[in-house]
Amino acid sequence: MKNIIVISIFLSVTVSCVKDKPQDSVQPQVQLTNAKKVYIINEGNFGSGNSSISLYDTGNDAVIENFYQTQNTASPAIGDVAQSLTKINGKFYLVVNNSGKIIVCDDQFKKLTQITKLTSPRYILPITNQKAYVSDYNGNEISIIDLNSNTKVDSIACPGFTEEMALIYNKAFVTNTKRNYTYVINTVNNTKADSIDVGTNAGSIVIDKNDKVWVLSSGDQTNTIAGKLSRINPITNQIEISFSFNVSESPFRLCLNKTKDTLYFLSGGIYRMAISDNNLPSAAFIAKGTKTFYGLGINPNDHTLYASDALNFNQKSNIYIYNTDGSQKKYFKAGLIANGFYFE
Amino acid sequence: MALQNVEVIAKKRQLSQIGKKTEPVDSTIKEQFKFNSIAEVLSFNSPVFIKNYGPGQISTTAFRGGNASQTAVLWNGFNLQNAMLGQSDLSLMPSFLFENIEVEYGGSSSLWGSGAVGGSIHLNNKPLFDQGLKASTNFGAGSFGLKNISTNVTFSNSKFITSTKIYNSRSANNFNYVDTTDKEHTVKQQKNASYDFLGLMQEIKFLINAKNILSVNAWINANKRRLPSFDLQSESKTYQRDDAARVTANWSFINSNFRSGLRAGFFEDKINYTDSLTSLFSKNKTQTIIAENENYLTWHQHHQLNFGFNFSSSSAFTTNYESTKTLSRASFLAGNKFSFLNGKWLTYVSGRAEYFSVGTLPLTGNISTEYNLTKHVVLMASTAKVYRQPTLNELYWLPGGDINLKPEQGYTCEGSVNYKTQINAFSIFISGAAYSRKIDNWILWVPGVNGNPSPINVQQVWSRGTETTWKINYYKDKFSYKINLVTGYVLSTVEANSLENDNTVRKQLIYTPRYTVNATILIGYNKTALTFFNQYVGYRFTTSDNSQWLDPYQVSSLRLNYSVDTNLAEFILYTACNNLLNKNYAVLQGRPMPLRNYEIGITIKTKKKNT
Repeated sequence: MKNIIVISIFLSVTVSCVKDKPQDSVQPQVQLTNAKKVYIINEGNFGSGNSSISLYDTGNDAVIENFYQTQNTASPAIGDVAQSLTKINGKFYLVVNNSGKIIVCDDQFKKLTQITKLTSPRYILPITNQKAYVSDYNGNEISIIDLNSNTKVDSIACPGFTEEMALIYNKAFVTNTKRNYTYVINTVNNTKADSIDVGTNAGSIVIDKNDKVWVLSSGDQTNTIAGKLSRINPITNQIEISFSFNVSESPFRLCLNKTKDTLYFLSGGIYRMAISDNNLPSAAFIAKGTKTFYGLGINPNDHTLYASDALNFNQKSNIYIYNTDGSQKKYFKAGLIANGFYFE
Repeated sequence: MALQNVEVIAKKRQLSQIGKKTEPVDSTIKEQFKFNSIAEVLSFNSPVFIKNYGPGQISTTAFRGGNASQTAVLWNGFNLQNAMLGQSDLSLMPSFLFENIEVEYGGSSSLWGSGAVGGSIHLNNKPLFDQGLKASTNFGAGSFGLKNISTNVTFSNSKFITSTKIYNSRSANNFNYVDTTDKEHTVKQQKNASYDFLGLMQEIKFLINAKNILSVNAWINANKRRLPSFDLQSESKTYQRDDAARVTANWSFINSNFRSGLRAGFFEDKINYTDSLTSLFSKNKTQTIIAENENYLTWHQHHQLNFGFNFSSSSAFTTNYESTKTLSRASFLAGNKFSFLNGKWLTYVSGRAEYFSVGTLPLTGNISTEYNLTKHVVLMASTAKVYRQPTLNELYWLPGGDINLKPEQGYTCEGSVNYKTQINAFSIFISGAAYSRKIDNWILWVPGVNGNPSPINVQQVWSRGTETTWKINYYKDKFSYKINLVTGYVLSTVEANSLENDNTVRKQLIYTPRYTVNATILIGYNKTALTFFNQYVGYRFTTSDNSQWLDPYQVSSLRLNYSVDTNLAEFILYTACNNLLNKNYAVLQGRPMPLRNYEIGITIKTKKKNT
């Protein structure tokens, strides 16, 4: 009898209470409107292959998660770390950094082909209707892509980790987070023409309404080097004006509004300044709070500000939409580690 | 009296195990893993979840819902955790080095200090006096270019022991695996995953006189390995070297009612990491000095007082910090063991106070008790305050390290029942435990600006669960049968998190399976044993909001030891088939494991001296 009691106590300890199989999240059936869409690039965790694209319908606030997977059920995996999304000649170019490839999709996000033989691509910049440049983290080169065949046809040696690029006057300005220079590439003959010292760790670049090039460098806290915001004259390749940040700050993700007269960037909170300002903003336009802002974009259609909060970088991101006065308009969830937006 | 048991460190282990579930790894089972690391031993024989990146790759623990830095890995009582990382890589610890492996469930910070939160893994050397000259050599080979060689030469007389162990384990490790996400190229070969582990362990022990024992242990190892890309990455050119030198000295004084021990250790760990693709070259070295004194005074026939001091200091030499950084800690420990009802009821109470060179550490303590209800049933209960100090990386890593980080701390309590009986040739052992632990200021690395991670005291975690062990052994004449079943059930959830619109509260921690079941069936005849191991690991979440997960896996291994005795020597032939059912599985996301694979080996042992 005693044995039976003992055994039954153990059995009750063995058998437990929570069902192990997790509930698959059910994607609600959503009706898309004709309103403009916003595509959110979720890079996912490095090494986990859980990148995704979320689609946000500005007409009815519907969100479709894993939109790429939905449109490509036969081969749904994106790869590791979706870095950026660009539309060229009516096709989406989804750059997948750690898988060394660019997925080319039609405007419905159905995969057409992929560009391979890239090391760790970051961004794609169309130069002409036939040609695009691809920056690269480890490749020490800019890849040249033939947009007709969607193949890599050549490369331009470019040491360091190249990041965002901008095109003006047949010059491609290429930021670099490993070198203190932004390289200037002559896009006619694909050769490096010049380099401009913009400070350490520069990764983002925009061109304002006056055709001036703005480069934001994050600095290097380890070696107490301050970040810088520089305005470059693209004709002379000279820095016209430069603003220094405090060493404790690490500004990144420089963006421009539609009228190209106001700069936005992240440095904990969201900051903004007019291109005509003589000083860096002294306070955040939108305070950080407990958020970890990671992606930033300005919707050119309604001027609203989109910012992603990656939280602990291991759960679905929060996407906050702010009105132009800084008040919060909306908040919704997207995929893991949203790093940027593509606005239709 | 076995002399090795009088050593003072063994007393400490006995004290920490009062009122708590503790299980040694069965010696016949351990024999089946002599070519494997501690990681494999534990993953097949305990509910400790081993986070394994692949064969020969980093293996760390998740024990009772805690993370790797919340498990103490103790070599003869010295904590082996790397002071920069706060964790130990079990794949670099061959099981053959240790005569005894014990799993101590539940935290015991007042005895073992920082890190003993989820539990402790004890790796002990127990060389014996008076054994004469003994030597054994193991040769092993296996799939994917696996080669193992290890040798142990021991000499002992009544006053002196020397034991030398040398090992080398290497593999090309280029196994095939199935990538279900790639429909065009489903079968792939693992690349850049080779390893080569080399080490030497030397022990010397003197019985100076009836009251004094001195021992010196050294363990030096040099481990090279390539780190493969995970399955979606285009390629990897990473290479890592883990070198360690560990030297300890131990003096024990034993009197009829007083024992005292002085111990000191020097530990150097080097981790050099090279990635030629990203031009990342990282050199890291830590040096730790530990000095310890422990005293045990039997002040009453039934009661024993213990007290002691511990000083430890760790320095890190790395380009990832502003300069060389040092953490020092001085602790005072006192406790008392009470024994009532002729030893049927034991209680141990202890407390520990510490000085820490950076910030403060909590006062910790524990109360534990066990009661022999009947000849067959033991009831145990324990409660303790536990903590983990921030690691050197968490405090000083640039950028991100935070000097103001607080230690993780909390309370743990548990109750367990052991039932043991002998029915004819059957011996039966059943044990069940339930526990609950709340930890505040749980440290998480949260990437900040530009993705540079920074550790923060972000959340409160509640871990609770149950474990059971079922063992039925049958011995008759030359036959033996063993059936072991070990289950683990863990709920480890975030209770509070300070981030806005965070979705991790009440969610299970990542890579913390709720269910693990290990089953072992051994059939033995004479010195020949056939063993079937089966391991089931339930769902592991890969994101902290539990929106993504990995499916459960079940993996089996069949191992055979066949012993041949000759006049000259004893030969033990060994063969194993791992992943018997050829399952495609991964313990961690994107880190494939090999399909079915084989090992063979032979052990040659000198005959035991008949005295």
